[in-house]
Amino acid sequence: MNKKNVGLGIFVIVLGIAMYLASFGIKDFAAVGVGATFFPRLASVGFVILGTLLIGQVLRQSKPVANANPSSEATIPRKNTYSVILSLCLLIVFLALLETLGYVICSALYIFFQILILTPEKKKKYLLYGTISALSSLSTYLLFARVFQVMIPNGILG
Amino acid sequence: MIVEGIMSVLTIKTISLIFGGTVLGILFGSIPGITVTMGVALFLPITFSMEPVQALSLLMGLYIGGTSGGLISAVLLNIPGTPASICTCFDGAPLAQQGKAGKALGIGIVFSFLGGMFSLIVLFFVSPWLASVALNFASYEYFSIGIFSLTLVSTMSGKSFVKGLISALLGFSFTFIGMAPITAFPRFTFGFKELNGGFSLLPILIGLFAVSQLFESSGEAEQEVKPVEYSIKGFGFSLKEFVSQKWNFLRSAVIGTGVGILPGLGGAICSVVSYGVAKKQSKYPEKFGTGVIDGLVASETSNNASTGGALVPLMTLGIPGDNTTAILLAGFMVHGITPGPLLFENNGVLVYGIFTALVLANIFMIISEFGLMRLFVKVLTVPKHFLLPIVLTLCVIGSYGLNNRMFDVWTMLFFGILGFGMKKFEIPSTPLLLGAILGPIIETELRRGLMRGRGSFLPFFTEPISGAILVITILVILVSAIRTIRKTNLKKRTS
Repeated sequence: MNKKNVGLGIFVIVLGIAMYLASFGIKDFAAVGVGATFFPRLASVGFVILGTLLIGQVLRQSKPVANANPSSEATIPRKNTYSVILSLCLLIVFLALLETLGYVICSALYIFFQILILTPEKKKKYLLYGTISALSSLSTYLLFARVFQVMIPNGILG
Repeated sequence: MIVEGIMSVLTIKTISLIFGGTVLGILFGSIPGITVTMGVALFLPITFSMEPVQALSLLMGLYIGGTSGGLISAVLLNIPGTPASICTCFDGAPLAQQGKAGKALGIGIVFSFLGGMFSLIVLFFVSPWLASVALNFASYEYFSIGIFSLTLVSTMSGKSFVKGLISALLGFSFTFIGMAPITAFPRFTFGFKELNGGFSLLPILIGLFAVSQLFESSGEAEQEVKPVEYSIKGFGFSLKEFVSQKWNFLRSAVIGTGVGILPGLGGAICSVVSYGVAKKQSKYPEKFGTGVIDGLVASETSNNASTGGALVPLMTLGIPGDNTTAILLAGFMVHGITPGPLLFENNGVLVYGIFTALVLANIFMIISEFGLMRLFVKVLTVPKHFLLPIVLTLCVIGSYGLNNRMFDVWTMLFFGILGFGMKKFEIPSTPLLLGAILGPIIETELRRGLMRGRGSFLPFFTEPISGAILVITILVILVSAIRTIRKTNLKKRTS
């Protein structure tokens, strides 16, 4: 926990510095009052102060409670971290193919594989998952695209 | 104008939209892990092609239904369906364990309704008045209110106020991307054309509150849920029990509405505060948590009373009272309507239409929660691993449908990852959202105010209303800083 907060503090400070440096690239003029760089610079100073405060808080507490909370580092078991990463990759693939393949195909495939990732092992019922994904992707498409006239990528089916 | 407003809602189409919205809202609210905020965000795209009054009526139905729906899973599963129903679990679940689930549900539903109606009366009388006051607000006041709201939400949400402020500042910083206000010079676009317009609010919202939930659930093992058996006869409780709660009800309704009006706080804090006060004022505080109806009444009255309260700053100032009203704000903007004092002058019919829709939504809520309870309980047992992927595809539709471009969908994913990461670091995401909404207001109004005052910061402090708000803001920061220092010292001593 403490290590996590120190890391976060450092990240926030670096973010502040980076933003400050990047603010020099902004074209600016202000005849009266403040210009376009005022708030970005103010925010970067804010980030540096807050990051320092966060690290300061950890250092003030750290001696007595250094190892009091070892379990909090491992609240997600390894297998579940794996499924979070898998979900993320699946989502990226889904979005990358969305415009080419179209919503219906893409979302059906996505729902199917995402259910597989989320379902606990042993009891996988592929036929059921397949039906759920096909039906829900088709029905959401019809509902949103046809009834409510929302634009949805059609892809190769369009 | 009032009559015209009421009539604008009384069409079969609009009434069915409100009813459908309320029922769906209850479903979203009752399923743990799927929140009201998510529900309203997902249904926003449906409203793109509707008339404003119909669109907002549907969204209001979802909001009212969703806020109340959380009580069903709180009582029957001992899992809060929404963060606002955490305190409902404390006494609702023990009552259900004692075989009095019907009574717990009955009390929860009736007091949800009464709390909601109380806050609507306040909304009806307070908001036109506040709007007329706000008509005289200039840049100074808007700037100060923006700063005050952002400070309040940063210090109140989450455990650490430093992290709250980091979150708010992060949200603010995202609004730097794109054209700068007033002078319209591009900032931090790094040569990407899509970034010229900045990020749209909707993908940020969907990412933070829906997509991050999918990642969160991927990391958790799903438990099988088994609702407690229940049966409701009549309202489920006696008249004597009802009368015994009158002061508790009134107090909780006032707290819920009052805290709800404060920007960014929302139902969860309202119910925690009311529950705490009810326990403190009770003759038998030791019984709280074992299944006394007082706790249930306090929690359910006040979280629903927060709905009318949260709508006050949204409609009169354009500042959302909680996460869900932030999406309602997006709902207004999609239809080209800017909430604020002028809304009452220029769009009075719509305002009173919305009020009517809210009253109807509360009535539909109580009717459907008594009438369709079997259906809601059935849906509770549908595994989350079937629902979440479908919800995600709806998120994609919502983000894409806004501007018909993939950029918004990628933005949604980016904020989903950010939201998930923030949860892991225990950084609250509400301040980020408020930062993203209030950032442009604060920046524009400061620059306008400075131009008006010829570069002087002094008027921000010398204008009476603006000055008073800034003083309160400084007090809020001081109080939270002192509280944090005390807490750290206490921790040090105890360890």
